[in-house]
Amino acid sequence: MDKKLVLKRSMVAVAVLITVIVGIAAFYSVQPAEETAVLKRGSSGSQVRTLQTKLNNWGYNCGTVDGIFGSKTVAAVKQFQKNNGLTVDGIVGAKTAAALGMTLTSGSSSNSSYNSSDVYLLAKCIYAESRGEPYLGQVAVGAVVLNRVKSSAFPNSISGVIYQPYAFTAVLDGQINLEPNDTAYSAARDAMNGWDPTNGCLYYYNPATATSSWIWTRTVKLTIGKHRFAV
Amino acid sequence: MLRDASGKMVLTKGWKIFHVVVAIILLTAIILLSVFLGLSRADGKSWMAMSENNMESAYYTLTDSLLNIENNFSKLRVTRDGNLAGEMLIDVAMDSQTAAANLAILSYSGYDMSALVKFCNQVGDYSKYLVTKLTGGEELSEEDYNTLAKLYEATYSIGKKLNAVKDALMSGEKIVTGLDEFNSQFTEIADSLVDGSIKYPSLIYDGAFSDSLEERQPKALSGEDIDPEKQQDNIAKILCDYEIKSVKYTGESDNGFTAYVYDITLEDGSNVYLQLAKKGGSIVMWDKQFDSQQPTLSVEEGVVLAEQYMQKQGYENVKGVYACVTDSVLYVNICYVENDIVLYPDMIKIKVSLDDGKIIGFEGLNYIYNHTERSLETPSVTEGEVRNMNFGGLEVQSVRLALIPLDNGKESLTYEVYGKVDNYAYYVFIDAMTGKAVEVLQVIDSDEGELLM
Repeated sequence: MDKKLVLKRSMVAVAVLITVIVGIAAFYSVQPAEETAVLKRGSSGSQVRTLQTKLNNWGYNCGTVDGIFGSKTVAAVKQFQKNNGLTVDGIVGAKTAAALGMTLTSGSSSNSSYNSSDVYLLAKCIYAESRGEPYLGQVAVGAVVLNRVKSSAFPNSISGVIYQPYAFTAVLDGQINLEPNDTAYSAARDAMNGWDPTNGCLYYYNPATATSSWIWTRTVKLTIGKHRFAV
Repeated sequence: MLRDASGKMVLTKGWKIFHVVVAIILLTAIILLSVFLGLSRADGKSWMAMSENNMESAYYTLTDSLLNIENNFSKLRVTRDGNLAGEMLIDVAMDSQTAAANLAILSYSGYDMSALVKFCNQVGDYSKYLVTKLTGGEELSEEDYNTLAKLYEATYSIGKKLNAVKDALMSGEKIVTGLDEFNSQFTEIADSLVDGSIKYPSLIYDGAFSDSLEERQPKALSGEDIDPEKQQDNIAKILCDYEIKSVKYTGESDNGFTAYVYDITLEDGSNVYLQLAKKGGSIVMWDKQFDSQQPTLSVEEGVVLAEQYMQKQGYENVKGVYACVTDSVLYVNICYVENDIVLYPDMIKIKVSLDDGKIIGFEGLNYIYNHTERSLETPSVTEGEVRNMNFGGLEVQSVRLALIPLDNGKESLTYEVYGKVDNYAYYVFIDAMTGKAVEVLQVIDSDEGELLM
């Protein structure tokens, strides 16, 4: 066998080795991207007010300073980004904020950070638990979470109820971390605004997959889609 | 590879080098793999340890707070001084919250320990009620003290049973690996509260978690029972904004009162979910999925549409009192107004699409439970007196009479004082008979919602 062939094969082997090393290194270096504060469509609160005031003062028309990042604010931000040679995406990240002379802080984007994160958490729970269900089945899952918050037999907050160990299978297996879709958000808002097709139920289960024998002892009040709702 | 004259295989120099290189590579790969697996295992172990530590921390915090509650209840047996009793009861209220939160962390399935969580929440709520009684200038009755003494017995028995868990932990058992075992111990405690082996007095008092609130009766339902299969006309009237393709009666919902459930398909292919009360056929709720596009209507126009819809459905003297928008969906809270008094307990919520002005949802549970003929008292405090009260930094924008629901299930005639501080909206409710403030509400995310006058 000539040297060239040996060299070639050795190089292939070295390449395999490098791939293995890089693979392992990559496995360990996969870290979630650090969360940075941004203001974008849907943001609200005092930072948005500051943004709107600044843009209005410089002649970019945001409309009334209402603290809501709506379409007018998006248009104004885009114009500002265009004029200042920034990436035109309508999102105020670190660079745009710096050009505006603003420092963004995460959290405290509204008068009480409590409310917005509740809708988000509830939407996540609804999406993870019932995304294949009919719309009202999703509203009902949200309503059960809120009925538990009101009940003395469960934790007294939305996060307490959702993260109660083993209370929701989708929390246990990590599906809770999927990003909810618009339908789940709508269902969460309906539930938060009082829509409750279950009229106060505290439990639900899918008779095809429920493993707990205890849950079958609860009195079923109605069925929506695949879920039985019970007290 | 070559063969020599005798047919034996002979390695050329090139092949020898190749084998050595391959051997080195394999060896390196094996070493790397073992390091990698070792690290993963260590990772797994540390996650497990962290989980266990969280669980054990929850357990010890739970026992500490239960012990504090027990001690305070014990001391209350020999305390008849209102101030001192109040201090102890505040401690109990705080400790019971801690206990309930930590129980939830330890709970195995969200329901097996619910009786124990309920015990903690109720003890805290009852203590708060007694504190309110004391700060209002009343004294605790002997009956109150008797109940507290019984709660002491119950807390003591729970603590004793929890010691079994402690013994297991001290002998080195782990909660995360022995979940079933630990869970059955907790479940046994919870069960003994239910079956009466731990005596637990029924707590009837003016509070959100009072036993008396568990059975509420619908006040607004009247009339003959309807035939579930003959509601096409009624449903067509309710969904007057839509062309109906088919109505399917899917069965009963039987929680608190009986409602008939319908799945309705519209001509545009979308679905409406609707419930009608068996008795009298009034709307319990209906809702449909809606995808926001571009709003073309203002909030004011949407509120008018909601009020008109209510009138069409036969609800007279109603008025939009609060509205909030998300995307193109407008939620309008609608209340009965009687002699200029807003009746909040009967609130109905209407969802309007600001894209095309169609009604997309109706929520009437509060109305069904609370709406009834009321004889409202004449206020003994005047609006002028309320306007002159001190509300801190509140810039008062409006004052009006309103009947509000209280946590304890009762209703109270109040003056609703609405105003803003730093652009954040507040409602302060002043009892119209006594002039005392009974409730303060802050509008969270006030940018999205507004009071309608």
